[in-house]
Amino acid sequence: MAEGPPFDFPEARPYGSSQENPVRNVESGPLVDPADLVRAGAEMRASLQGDTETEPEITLIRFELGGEQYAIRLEAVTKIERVPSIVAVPRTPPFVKGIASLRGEVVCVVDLRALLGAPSSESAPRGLLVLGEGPRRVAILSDVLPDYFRAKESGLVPAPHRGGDAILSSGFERDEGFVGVIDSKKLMDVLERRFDA
Amino acid sequence: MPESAPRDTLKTGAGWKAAVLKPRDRARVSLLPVRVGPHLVAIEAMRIIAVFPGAVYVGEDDPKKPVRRVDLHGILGVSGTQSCETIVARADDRTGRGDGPRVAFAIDGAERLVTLPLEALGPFPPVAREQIQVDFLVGVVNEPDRTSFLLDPARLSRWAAALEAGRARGAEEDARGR
Repeated sequence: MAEGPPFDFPEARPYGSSQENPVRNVESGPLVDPADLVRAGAEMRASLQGDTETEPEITLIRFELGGEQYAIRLEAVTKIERVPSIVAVPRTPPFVKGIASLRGEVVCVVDLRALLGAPSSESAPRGLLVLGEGPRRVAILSDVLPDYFRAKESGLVPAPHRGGDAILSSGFERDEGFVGVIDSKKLMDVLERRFDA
Repeated sequence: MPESAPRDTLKTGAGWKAAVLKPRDRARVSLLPVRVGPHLVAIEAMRIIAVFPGAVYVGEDDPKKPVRRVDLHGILGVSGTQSCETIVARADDRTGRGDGPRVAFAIDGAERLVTLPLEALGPFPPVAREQIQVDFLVGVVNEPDRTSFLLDPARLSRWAAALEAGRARGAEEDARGR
């Protein structure tokens, strides 16, 4: 009687150590190699880390007063309108231009020129930015119809010192010149402070 | 100067009688829009006693119905026109012609009486509310085609009284200082 195994049994080999891996050699096709999974995971992590390192941009609404450019964050602006008929309110400081009815809603219209130290302009204002919601709603005038731009927050630089620096502390240096960014919360705080008429 | 007499029409049309005869209509309010310089202010019709021609009220004073003369143009810092009229209104929280204080002030012209739903009246919007320096303009009348300010005659009278008292005190202090 011959010595040896009673049937042909393939030699056991460590998993993944050779091309002869029995799992890979089955005819139904290759399964996912765990090494591939690890590699794919590493690539995914790297791409995700890359995303978080990319600084998101902020959107700002740009307006103009006396040839100077200002911007305010999009989140602070409720709507943009053409300048409606404004009714002057007696015995108010000069920056209060009056009140206006915007489709039945009465809002106070403010000209920030005096607060920002911006020069006066010869043309009549053309745009109106309505800021805030509910009890803190106010509209500010712009010499031109407002538009928007996107910028990285890291691009903010300190604003040159001026009268309105309480509400204007930073801005963007852009091709078209310096665009001062207005802090809407500080603006409301200033507007609600009592001024002498 | 001839004695002032209330105008025949008051420029208020038929709505005037309706406002007086139907005070129980609480969902609507009758207002008399008047011009004061460039401003349009509205006064509740029920508080108005009469509209006289001329910028100065020269009626006789009844001790039971004292009239405080107020320079509304001066307080608002606006100048009047030639066609001034004078409004006499109740200076307390009552209505009608019974006894009680009155306030008289010049206006630049009254328009026709308007009757509006109460929803047309509202407070000043934020910022305007904080910045307005007088308390007798108590709110905004928002009509579809125009906006005016609601004037409370009783508060106007009190404001003028405080102003006079302040001036008198200032004059007294000046005199003592000398």
